Amino acid sequence: MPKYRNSLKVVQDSKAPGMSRRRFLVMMGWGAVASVGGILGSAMLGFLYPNALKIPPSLFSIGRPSDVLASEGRVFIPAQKVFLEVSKGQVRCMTAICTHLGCTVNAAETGFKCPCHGSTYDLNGKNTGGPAPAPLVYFRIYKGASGDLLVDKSQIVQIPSEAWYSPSV
Amino acid sequence: MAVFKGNKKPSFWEMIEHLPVNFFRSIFKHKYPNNDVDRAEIIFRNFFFHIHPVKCHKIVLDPFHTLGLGTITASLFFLLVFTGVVLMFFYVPAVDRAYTILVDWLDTTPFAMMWRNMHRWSAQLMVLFVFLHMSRVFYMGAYKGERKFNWVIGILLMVVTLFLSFTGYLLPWDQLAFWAITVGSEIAGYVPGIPGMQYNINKLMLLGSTTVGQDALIRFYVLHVMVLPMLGGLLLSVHFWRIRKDGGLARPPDRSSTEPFRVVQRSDTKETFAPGVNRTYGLMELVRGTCPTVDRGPENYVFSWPHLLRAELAVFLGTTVLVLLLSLFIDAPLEEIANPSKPTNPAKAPWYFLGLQEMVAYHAFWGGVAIPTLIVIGLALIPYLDRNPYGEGVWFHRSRFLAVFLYTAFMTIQGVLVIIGVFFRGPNWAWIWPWTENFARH
Repeated sequence: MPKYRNSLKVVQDSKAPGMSRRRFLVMMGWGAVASVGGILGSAMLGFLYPNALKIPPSLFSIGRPSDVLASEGRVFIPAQKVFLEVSKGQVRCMTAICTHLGCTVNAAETGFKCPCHGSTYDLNGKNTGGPAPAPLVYFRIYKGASGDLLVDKSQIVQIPSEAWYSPSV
Repeated sequence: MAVFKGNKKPSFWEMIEHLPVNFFRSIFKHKYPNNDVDRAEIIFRNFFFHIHPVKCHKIVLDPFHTLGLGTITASLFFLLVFTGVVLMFFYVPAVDRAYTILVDWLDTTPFAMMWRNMHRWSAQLMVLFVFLHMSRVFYMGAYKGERKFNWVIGILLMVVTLFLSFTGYLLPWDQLAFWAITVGSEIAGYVPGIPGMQYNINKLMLLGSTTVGQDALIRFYVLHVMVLPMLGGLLLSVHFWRIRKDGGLARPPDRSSTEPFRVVQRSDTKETFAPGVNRTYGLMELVRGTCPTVDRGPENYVFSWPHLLRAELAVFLGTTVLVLLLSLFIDAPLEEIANPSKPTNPAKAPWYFLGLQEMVAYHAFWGGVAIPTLIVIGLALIPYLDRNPYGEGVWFHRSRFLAVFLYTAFMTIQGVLVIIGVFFRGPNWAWIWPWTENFARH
């Protein structure tokens, strides 16, 4: 603020603050509006994003090793949305969830096909056509303390040939 | 000499005698609209009518000028709100009960099927008529000049309509519903989230979980019955209000404007109005008072009561009859109860989303997120990018051949995508020809 108003000679007061009282109060007012809005907005967003999510357990049992190995071939486990493949005393477990938009793929002669948007995969789960951006992944299998074969969906095996597990019967 | 000393104080019995008339007059302060003052007053004194102008131009009342598309869309919205509230009396947003209650209700309750059909067919027609209305406005150049921002509001209403229909067909919790939520939330997962978070925030806030379940259903239910209808109703009100404030529906300028230099003057305040006044929303000022006709009003304008209101009522009744006929003869589809482990084959969205599904089948991010966003932004920016000032209020104006061509090409591409999705996609989304027997199987 100049020292003297209404004068032709405006002398800037070096001690005066760089902001007028009115402007300071207006900025305080807008700051109050912005902080109330920010608190309400972040409370709303936080409310929609719970801290504890109901995520289904990643570990599930596929049965005794002898029962699993009893039948050769590929079966679909609906509850877990996985394909279980048994071949020559080995077993591997592949996800059935399409990597594109989450539909469940169907087994076909050439591999797997998605009914929603037409993604195709070969017998090892590698994406061969359609919009799928990535191959179907495999999960690690191991024998639990109870003797059951357990599949851990949180441990992903990227290479199909390394996904085979040979349980000792 | 007789001097008027005010009205005589009525006796008690006279007050009782006149009570019905007085009560009626306290609600409707105007008299029966058989003269110009009361025809004006009924519009601007009545809460439900005051969104209309007092007078409107003869041309916009021509059924072939607007084809009534906007009014049909609004009528469908009102029908949807009404039938939706009827459905809410039975619906329970719980994954284990929604479907079974719906089936029981359809089997046991009189007219249940009709109410559900009305809601479903109104929703589908509304999506159709939103696009027809948008095309009408584009081909007529009605987004130009004063009406730029009302076009943007219209685009927002289109987005709200699409979200309303999406959240709506999720609620029966049939196969279509479950897999539509799955695909929809996965598409939301392709929208960039906040880096460093364990899950994509868009998908998680939509579902309330990492998988589709009860949390997702209640969120979509709240969006469908409260958030989106309120937003849509609000935008609809602004859309209507701006028609009047932006100078009425778009129309070509009058061929012969008689006496364009005549100045209109108000009798009581001597306030003068500019020559060539053609806005009608100031007319309530002109007709108030003891001298209703200060001067002749703008040429070619007629009173909204009865002309405009009669036209709107006719369109609304016609729309209701159409929806009722559809509802009586065609039942709304209901697929089997949701099976979280396997979708139907093929899993198809309703027809208006099949263009989107076709695009998503090429690339999830580009087809599901980027291109739709660019389309919405591009449509909203049309009034601000169109430099041609001609053709406002004229169907297919000669100077707009490029704009008309580009818009038609765009809509044709979208239409072709929808037709491909409906007729040319079979199991596993593979290409089929509709006349082969493969098509009949699905």
